[in-house]
Amino acid sequence: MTIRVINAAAAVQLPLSTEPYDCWRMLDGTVACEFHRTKNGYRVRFPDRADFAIDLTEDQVTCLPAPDVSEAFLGDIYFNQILPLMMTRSGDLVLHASGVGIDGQAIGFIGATGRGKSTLAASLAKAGHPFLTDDGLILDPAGSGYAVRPRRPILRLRADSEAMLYGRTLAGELDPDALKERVPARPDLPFLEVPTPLAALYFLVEPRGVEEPQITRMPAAGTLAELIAHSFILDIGDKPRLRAHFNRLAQVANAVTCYALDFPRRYDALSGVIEAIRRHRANGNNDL
Amino acid sequence: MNLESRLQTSSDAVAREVGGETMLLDLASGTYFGLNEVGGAVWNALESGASLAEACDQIEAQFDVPRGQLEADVLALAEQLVSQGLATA
Repeated sequence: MTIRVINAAAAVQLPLSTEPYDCWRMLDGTVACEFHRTKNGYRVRFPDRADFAIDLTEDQVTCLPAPDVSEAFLGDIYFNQILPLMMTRSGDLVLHASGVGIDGQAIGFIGATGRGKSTLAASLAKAGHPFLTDDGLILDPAGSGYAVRPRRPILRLRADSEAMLYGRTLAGELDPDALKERVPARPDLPFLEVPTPLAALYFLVEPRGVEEPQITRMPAAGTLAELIAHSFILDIGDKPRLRAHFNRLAQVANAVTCYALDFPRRYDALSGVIEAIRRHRANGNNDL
Repeated sequence: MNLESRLQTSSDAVAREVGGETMLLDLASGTYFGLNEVGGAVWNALESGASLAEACDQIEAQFDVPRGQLEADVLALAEQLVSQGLATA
């Protein structure tokens, strides 16, 4: 499917006449975006940032920005949120996850915003394990398993993560809308450009105050519930697509080994987390 | 509801076996449920049109479980499926 994107002039967001049928929230409960049905498709609202009007009859997405929102940020929303939602309508499987390559295999880190997906991907990349994606991890069936499709060679990092990893700011431009900076791939932040077989998924669980990294195998049935919670789907009321989505995720839950990963949320502990993940991969996935 | 009842499973219910359990998704509400191995066998029997007694017969042949306990468990599960809208009596 080819999607045409149109950028409209900035305008203050007015209340919508419909009630949202779905809503995504940040960890603190604030609304990240809400979903409305329209005559020809959908309107996805990111409060005070932008609306995206999706016209299914024209395969067209119109971006309606709020005032003073940067073009770069709008591009990030489109690439990381709207495009994955559209892709799932076409049967792709997209997870809220980052991905890196280790020893020729991919691993993914799944979790809500703020759980550390980008920081882990950046840390592993800095340690020599190239990243495949910052978010919106696409799984393509490959043999009896799945491959991770590379996306764009850019990481979006909070300034404190970036400063911790590099001791300086690489991009130099902090986007006030995103509170994240775009850090392009570079020799010390390598990007993996080829589809890579998926070895495992790590769910970044709610922190329990652990002092050492903990990695435990998740039962497949529990994994399915988490996959549902952390996958992209545009319309949960679209029963045929929801049915197909559920079936695809069940196949992933049966085929892919998944773990719960908890780790100290301190930057000075991050090197230990990276080492624990490396050990876990090298030692045949035993619990730590 | 009794053991002779034949439940009609909802067309909005999707069942998939995952890791030895059966996960049910209710497309109407977006809610999902987990059934253990025996519960999954009950669901499969109901989907094939079996009565609750016939479901018990099938399960008794597969699992080592006292008949009285099995019938009580199947009736209890059937009540839950109906109350959750996943089946009708």
